Amino acid sequence: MLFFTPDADRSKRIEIIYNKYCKFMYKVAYDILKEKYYAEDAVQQSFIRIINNLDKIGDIESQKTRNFIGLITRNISIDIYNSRKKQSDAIGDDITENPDNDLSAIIIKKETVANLKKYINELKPIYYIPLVMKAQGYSVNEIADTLGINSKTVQKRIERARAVLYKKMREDI
Amino acid sequence: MSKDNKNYINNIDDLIDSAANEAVSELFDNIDKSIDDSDISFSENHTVAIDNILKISNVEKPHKAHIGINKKILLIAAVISIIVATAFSVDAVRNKFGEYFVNTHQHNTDLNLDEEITPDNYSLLKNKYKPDLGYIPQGFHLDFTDSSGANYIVQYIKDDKCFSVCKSKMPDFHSIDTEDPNAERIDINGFDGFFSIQNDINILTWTIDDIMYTVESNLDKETIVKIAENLK
Repeated sequence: MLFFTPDADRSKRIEIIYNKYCKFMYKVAYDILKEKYYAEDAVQQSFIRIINNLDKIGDIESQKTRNFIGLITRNISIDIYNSRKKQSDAIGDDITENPDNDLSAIIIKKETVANLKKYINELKPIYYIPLVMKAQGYSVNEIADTLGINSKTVQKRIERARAVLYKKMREDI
Repeated sequence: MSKDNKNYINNIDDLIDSAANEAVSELFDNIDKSIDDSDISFSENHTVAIDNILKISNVEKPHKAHIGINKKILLIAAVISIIVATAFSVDAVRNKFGEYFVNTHQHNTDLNLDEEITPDNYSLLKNKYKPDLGYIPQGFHLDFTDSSGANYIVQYIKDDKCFSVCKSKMPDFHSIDTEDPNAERIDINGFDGFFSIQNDINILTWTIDDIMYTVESNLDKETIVKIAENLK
């Protein structure tokens, strides 16, 4: 009695999510994997991950939900991609354990802001997804739960992602 | 790190968050726009796999919040059990606890054979057993009264003379020494009474229905009988 919560809407909600976002998920996956078979595999794995994190989904129609589903799919697609072929051209490998977080040298210019989105998109996926999820308002624990990794790792990856961006912004000056 | 520098970092981080939100929304907006329904058709294997996932998902998943609560309850219960077990391993604590239920200093157990006395019926019983004396020898005044609900004692006194009248519920077992050479049967208003002398005290006992009457006194027999006959 105490251990199970009856939720009659749960399965209905899962079906609605799948019907609404299955093509979107497929497209996110296909853009990375470029093969139907692997894209479908990514959709299936993502769907299971979404079901396991259903409590983090509020309004099904909202942009936040779409981005959450997109990020899960993208993360899994990249994992599948990496398992097939080691991705080596993303930035983020050049970060030291103790990145220089001195931001005094950064002067926010119009170009810096414009470039920031480009730098974010260029981030290595392991940094990109935690950073974007944090920006979307998810806590470190929620991100860790969703991605199936340790919360300390998530925190470290967000810090590293920011360090890369600080560095890039300084170089812009 | 100075306060200004901290604020500056927060501003930069806010800027990054804002850019990250825009970046991801733009990325997925573009993907959304590029979806052409006619483009996408899932394979049969995929449809079967999704159907299976949906079936499995129908099995209720334990609610994480409740798992958390249950873990807390179990943890608290475990801590309480350890504390209680530790406390009870000490003799003094165990004895103290036992005294709440059993009076270990009492050598016998009281059995109350009287009518059950409750706060509700106490007044009723008190009135029922209160003796109403129709005759009080001249000069006697009330010394004390005592009542426990199912019996009532009144005592009157005058100088070195006294008498007490007790009206009580008839006990389950009551014996009278009929072999006592000083004892004799006396009729009290048609009811059998028994008069005896014990330690220079005259005792008159009789019963009416389930009520037992006793008059004890150092007064003479005739006075005691008169008190008894006028008792209501």
